Amino acid sequence: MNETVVGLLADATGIGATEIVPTLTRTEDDRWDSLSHLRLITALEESFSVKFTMDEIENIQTVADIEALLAQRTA
Amino acid sequence: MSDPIEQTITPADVMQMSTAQIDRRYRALNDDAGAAELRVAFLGNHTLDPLQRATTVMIDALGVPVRSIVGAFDQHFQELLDEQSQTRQFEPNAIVLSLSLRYLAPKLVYGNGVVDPQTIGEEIDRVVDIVSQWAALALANSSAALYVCNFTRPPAIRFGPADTALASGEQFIYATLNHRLSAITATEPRLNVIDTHHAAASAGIAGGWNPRMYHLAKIEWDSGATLHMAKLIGRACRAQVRPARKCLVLDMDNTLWGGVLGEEGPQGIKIGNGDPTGEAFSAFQSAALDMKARGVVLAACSKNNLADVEEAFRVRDDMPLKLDDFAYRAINWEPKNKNIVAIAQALNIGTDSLVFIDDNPVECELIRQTLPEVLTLQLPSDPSILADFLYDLPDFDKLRLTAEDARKTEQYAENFKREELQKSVGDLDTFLESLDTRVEIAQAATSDVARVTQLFTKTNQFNVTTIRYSTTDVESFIAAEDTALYTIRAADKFGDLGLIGVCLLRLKNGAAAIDSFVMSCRALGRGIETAATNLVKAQAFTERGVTKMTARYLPTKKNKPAVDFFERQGFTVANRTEAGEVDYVLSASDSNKLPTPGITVLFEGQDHE
Repeated sequence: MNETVVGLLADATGIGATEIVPTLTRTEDDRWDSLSHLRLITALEESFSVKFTMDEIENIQTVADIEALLAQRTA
Repeated sequence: MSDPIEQTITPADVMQMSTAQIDRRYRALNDDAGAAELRVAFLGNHTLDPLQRATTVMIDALGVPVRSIVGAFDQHFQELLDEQSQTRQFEPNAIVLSLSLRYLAPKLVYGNGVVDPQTIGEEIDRVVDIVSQWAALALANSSAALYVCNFTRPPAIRFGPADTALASGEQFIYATLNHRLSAITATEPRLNVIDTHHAAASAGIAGGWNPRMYHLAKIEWDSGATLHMAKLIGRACRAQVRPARKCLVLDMDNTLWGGVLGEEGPQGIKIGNGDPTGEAFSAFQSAALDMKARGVVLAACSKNNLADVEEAFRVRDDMPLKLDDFAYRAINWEPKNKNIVAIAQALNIGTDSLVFIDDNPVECELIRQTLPEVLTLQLPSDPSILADFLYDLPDFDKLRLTAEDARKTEQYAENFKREELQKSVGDLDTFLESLDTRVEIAQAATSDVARVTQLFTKTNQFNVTTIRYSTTDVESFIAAEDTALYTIRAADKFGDLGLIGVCLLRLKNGAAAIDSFVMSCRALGRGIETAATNLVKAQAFTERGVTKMTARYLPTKKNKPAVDFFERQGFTVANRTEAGEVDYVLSASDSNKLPTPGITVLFEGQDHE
């Protein structure tokens, strides 16, 4: 996993970095709620200098989704 | 940043922080169990979590321990009405209200084609009414200071270039709304407006509207604008609990003008129009005059020949500052730490009320080491940013300016003239007679609340109990039957000293207790406090039928000048603790009017003899 993504997810949600795995899913952890999700999005956009669309933001469910989206943007 | 709470950060650091860094810092602050001096509740009808987090981190960076909460979405009335609400339970001492017009008055934002001025005007009235109602409720149901955010204008203009010519255009809507919002604070000392409109502009006005985040989660602003808003709210909240520093001590060469006066002469120094460096220093001098208007006393501390400096101010009359603008001038070759102590003594204020600005790193280091309580700032080397450097200092922030503030330096200067007269007259009573002092005492009115609160919160030296009362407390003393709050004003032949003292009595079972007696140090040593006590005693014993008065002295590091005040006023010591706390008593039969040479006393506008 991308360490920066893991770090930002931990900061935004308060989930410990060691608990974060590629399949960690937004709907399964209360700490990854709608507000912390948007904090994460803002942090990702600032860190990677990208901008996501509203659909993309809503469709992100897992760490793997984030990595796929970033790979697509930076390709 | 493994343990970010251990690290001290500055407000400027916060402005550079990413959203992730703000989150991390906020979480660390929230986990810290220490006591909070500021308890801030955020209420409104859009998602305020990002603002709350950034503001909390900012207030901490400004040096004030803080806790905060966000009330339930769009429940800013319920949060105040319901005693069990999160906000009421939290007992905030500051409440921030931020309302989104998109939710509150969509006709003003989206328009739906509405352009007729009457409909727009009615919507503006409705918004101002809602804010007024909320403020009235909050004032009644909470003792917190209120901070209402004004409205940010969207970046896209609905009617394009025609907007500014429309009587109902967006330029008109936002200017009118924000103007009317500020107007409702005029009569209410506890109500303040936060200029979020300006904060959004600082970030780029587009930052005040974040359509993606708004449509997803009702987050109205982007992270950059949020930081600027946090800075404005943070400075206001800091000013609520931290007194402003009282005096700005300025070096001269390469601080007030470019160049060294002793080498380049009055025509050689760079100041005034016609030279870019000179214009930048002029702007800095103008900013210093603005600080003076805020009630900051200016003092000069410069290694120069006094005659050279006097000549420079005479010859270069294009300088915004005049030599008279400085209440005290330490222009000599003594070490600056010695001069700075002399300035504090002459003005009768603590060295911890001083800000010292110098371009020379060696002088700055000397003051930092010898007088760490002075805020020492080394001037940035680029003169073009000097004026904004001064405006950006939170240390001179106040929530309100009073009439006394604008006259501060003159009042100190008048004090020096009084002292000179005293030296020439010699005998104290003859001197006091010659001052022709008029003391006016009255029951405090609502219009006095700001100044009275300022005296309670800022006065250290002549303050018998040093109880720091807030605006809310002062309002309740004025309204209550069992308290009497007296204001003391004074004037003499040199000028008006303004409202310089307060005395608070608590009345119970035929006795009157002096809860607080506070007097500005510049009015001391001339019998005004005795004249005021004479009147308070007469009021209590004669008018209110009190049989016994009590008083207390609670020692602090700074209130020595008040130590034997009640003894001198004829009170008897009833009890004295080891810590130096003293209880006093005075019965009606033992009460005498003490002599106050040269003082005329008025009570509620009437002569009092």
